[in-house]
Amino acid sequence: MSDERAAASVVGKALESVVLVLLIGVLATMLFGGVLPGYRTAAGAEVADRTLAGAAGRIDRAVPDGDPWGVDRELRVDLPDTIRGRRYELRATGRTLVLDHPAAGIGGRARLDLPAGVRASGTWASDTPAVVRVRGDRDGLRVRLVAGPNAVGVAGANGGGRP
Amino acid sequence: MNRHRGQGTLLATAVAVVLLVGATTLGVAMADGALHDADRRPLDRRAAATLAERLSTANATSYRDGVVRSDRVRNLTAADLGRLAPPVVGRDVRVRLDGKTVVASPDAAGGTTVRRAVRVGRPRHERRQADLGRRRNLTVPAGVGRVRIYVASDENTTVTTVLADDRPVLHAAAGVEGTAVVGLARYDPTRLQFVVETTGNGNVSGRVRIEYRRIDARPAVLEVTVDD
Repeated sequence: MSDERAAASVVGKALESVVLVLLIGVLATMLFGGVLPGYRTAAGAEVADRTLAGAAGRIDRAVPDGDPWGVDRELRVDLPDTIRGRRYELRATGRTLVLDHPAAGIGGRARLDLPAGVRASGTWASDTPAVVRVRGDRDGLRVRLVAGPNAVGVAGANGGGRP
Repeated sequence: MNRHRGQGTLLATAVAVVLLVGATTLGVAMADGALHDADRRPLDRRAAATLAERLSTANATSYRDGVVRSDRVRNLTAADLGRLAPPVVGRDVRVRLDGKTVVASPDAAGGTTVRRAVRVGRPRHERRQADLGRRRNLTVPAGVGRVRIYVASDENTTVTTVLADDRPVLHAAAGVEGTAVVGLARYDPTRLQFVVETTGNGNVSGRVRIEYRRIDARPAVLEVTVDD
């Protein structure tokens, strides 16, 4: 009789412990295995979209739509250093801006609002200061994304921004 | 009885497990909702804002910044929109002017909407003329930036100078003749004055005519919706 009583208590405690350990295991696996990475990716994708839209807007603003000759200006663009904890790249390919991120599901592309015939090139790494440089000569405008250690606001007296 | 005590603790554990799982589920659901609310579709918004700005400022669709050409906007096609504002290419777009749909892609339903207060203009061409023998000035109403002046003076009369509010805009010692287009300040009515010299018998004769375009504008709301 007294044997049984002791055994019941031990079995009860053991059951409780097993249930709790299982619960914590299941919750941790569920949260860290699926839910949290999913949220990080979703939040990262949202930040990436905003970064892309903001950067594209800055590039559009840097490009004057008047006479291209003699335009020489640089405009600094603020980018988040990392998205979802990782470095990423912004690439200009002609008339499109592409955000490349190592994680699947983050990134995208946006069409640039450039005057007809103007093409953009170059790459920004997220952890270096980003500058868009616009130069104009007889052949038209050239838009390049460059890394700028000593980035300035707007250089050059030519060409006001868009109204 | 003692056996029941052990199972009582087990029961309490079960309740705790249920509460814990419930709290976790609730937290995940709330996080889901917060994430969903934070989705502002910035690329759609940018496309819509760019198109709205372009429609109200581009030469193709506006008389001047903020004054939309209703005839041009009503005849827009989806391809025109892409040319005006490249960011909308590949997206469903709907443009409404004053509550009436102007252009719409077949699938544009929800999406992000940008509204701009603009003025919708309709042009009115006016002309005025004067007989130089009786009258040597004409008034151009406010809001006109350009006027075409046509001078036809007779042989004994020479129009040497045309003044716009005392500022010379045309001058020729030998005489201003024929048609010329002159820029004016739009903000006030402008008085055009014709300075005349005569030869011979001293009677001034001839005709001057001015033509200009006035924009009748009324306020309206330009609404651009972009759906990915």
